Amino acid sequence: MTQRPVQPFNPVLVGLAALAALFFVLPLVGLVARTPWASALGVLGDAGVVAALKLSLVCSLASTVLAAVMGVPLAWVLARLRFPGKNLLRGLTTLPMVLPPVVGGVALLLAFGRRGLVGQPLNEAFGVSLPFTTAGVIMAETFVAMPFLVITVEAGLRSMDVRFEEAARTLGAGRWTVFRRVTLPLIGPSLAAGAVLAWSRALGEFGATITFAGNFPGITQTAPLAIYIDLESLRLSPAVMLSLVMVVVSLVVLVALRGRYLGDA
Amino acid sequence: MAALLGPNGAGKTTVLRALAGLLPLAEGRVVLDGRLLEQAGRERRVRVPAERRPVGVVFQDYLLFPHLGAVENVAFGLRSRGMRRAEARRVAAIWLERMGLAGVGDARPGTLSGGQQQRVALARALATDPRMLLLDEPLAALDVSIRAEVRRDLRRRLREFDGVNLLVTHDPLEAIALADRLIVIEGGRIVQAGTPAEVTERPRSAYVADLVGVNLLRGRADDGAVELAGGGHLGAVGAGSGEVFAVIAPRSVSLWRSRPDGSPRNVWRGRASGLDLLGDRVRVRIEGQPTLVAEVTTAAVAELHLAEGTEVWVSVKATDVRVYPA
Repeated sequence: MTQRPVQPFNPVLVGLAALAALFFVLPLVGLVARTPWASALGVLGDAGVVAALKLSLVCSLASTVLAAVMGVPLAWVLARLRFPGKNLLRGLTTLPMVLPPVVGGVALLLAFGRRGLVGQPLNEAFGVSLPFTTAGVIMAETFVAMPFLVITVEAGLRSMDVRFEEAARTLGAGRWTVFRRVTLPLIGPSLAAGAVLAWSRALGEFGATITFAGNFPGITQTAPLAIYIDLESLRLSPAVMLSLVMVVVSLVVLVALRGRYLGDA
Repeated sequence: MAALLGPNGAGKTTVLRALAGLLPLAEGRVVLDGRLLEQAGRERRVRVPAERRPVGVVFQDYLLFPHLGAVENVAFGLRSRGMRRAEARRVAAIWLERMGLAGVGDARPGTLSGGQQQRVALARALATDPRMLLLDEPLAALDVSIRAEVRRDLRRRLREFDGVNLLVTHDPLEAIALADRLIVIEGGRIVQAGTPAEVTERPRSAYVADLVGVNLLRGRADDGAVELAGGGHLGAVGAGSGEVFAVIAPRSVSLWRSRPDGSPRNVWRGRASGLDLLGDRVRVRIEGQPTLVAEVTTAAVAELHLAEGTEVWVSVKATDVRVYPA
């Protein structure tokens, strides 16, 4: 039997830690304590609130799927292929993680806007215009969320034993069968974690969305946008109610990821 | 069944990977049953990819797919070759039964014992009906206590396979027990090939000599005497002439405190440089011309006051020196 070594008590560290914990907990307590419950529960059925929540859900899920469909191949290329400029590509891929989202929105606008680099020919040739549409919301969310999926999946691909893929090849599996039946299942946990991270980032997206897609109720006004607008217009009840729903959703995600990011210790 | 035998880093696994098509050849060719699988070099390159070679591989740590059950592991190759799922599972179950694993079903590889995993790996490799089976250190991942049993079992099952069988191992016991032909490689080159008896009888490299536990010397024979490459000379019976190997068993080497008499002996001076206790006998390395290993009794060690650095006389009877052409 061994005992845990006794950690000497350090009042400064413990004091600062308590301060940090309070800093996290107090806003949540405030949100719950100051919720005008009677009126707040009433707005839960409001058309505007429901539309914002629905739009948030649809757009965040769509951008997660989009991020997976494009991000997994990108992660595979970064993990497995060797080519010049790979580090630059990885850097550009992860840039949206550190870039202020508003800047991402401006960049998207200049690229895909009506007069943008790609947007203008796209508009002239097909009459397609992406900004200020629901598709624009999905694009903005994908832009900020995909890096989370790419880096998580790339790490999974790097730590995976590639000899399983070799074993599959000796059994007659072509490259697609190997990818589908061996690679993907083996990186399954990384893919799931990456998708959840990307989804929660997309769900909370604000800056890039409002810049690129605007703020049209029912079309581009997601829950974070609606909360901000409601608060600005002094409509406290819907703002608080939407906030509470987002808190609950985030808590559910954290619990789902328990063990991966929240250790048992 | 042939065994590719060699020390770690000799290139055994590289050969296996090249045959399986996992590593492209820089030069040379691979032909199986008269079919050209790969040809490297300047003219007419051919390369059949791994997934289209009729080659089954049992990998060193088996590499069973951890996310699939035993049946699905065995069915993997069949399904990859276009068999429908239900049919592939049925055939896989038959293979598992043949391997004495009727009950494992969809148990995940991680829940099976080492011996069971090895049989699943063998079933998986054989289920696609390959023309060549490659086994990479098939016993290395197993606990020593069950190796003998698994080796016997493996030997019996491999007899039923009628294709080309190649075993890669660094364990001579495994090679001799499972194979009827040994190919010894060192530094990426074949140094000796033949039946286990031929190889052990006439070692042609320090590696094989070490395995068999004999002293191997090289030199030039002329009229009953061998001029050794590393200095010194030996009298031997029937040495012939030309480049030869000379083999001396450690037990045939005698050590003395003073120069011994007797005409049919080779006698030289040496210095003990390393002692190893082996049961009731001691292996002593004697530096001299030539340097070799002697095996003597513990009583002899005491009598000779043998220790690191002790000067001794070494003698070997001419009839105990076995000589064969290099």
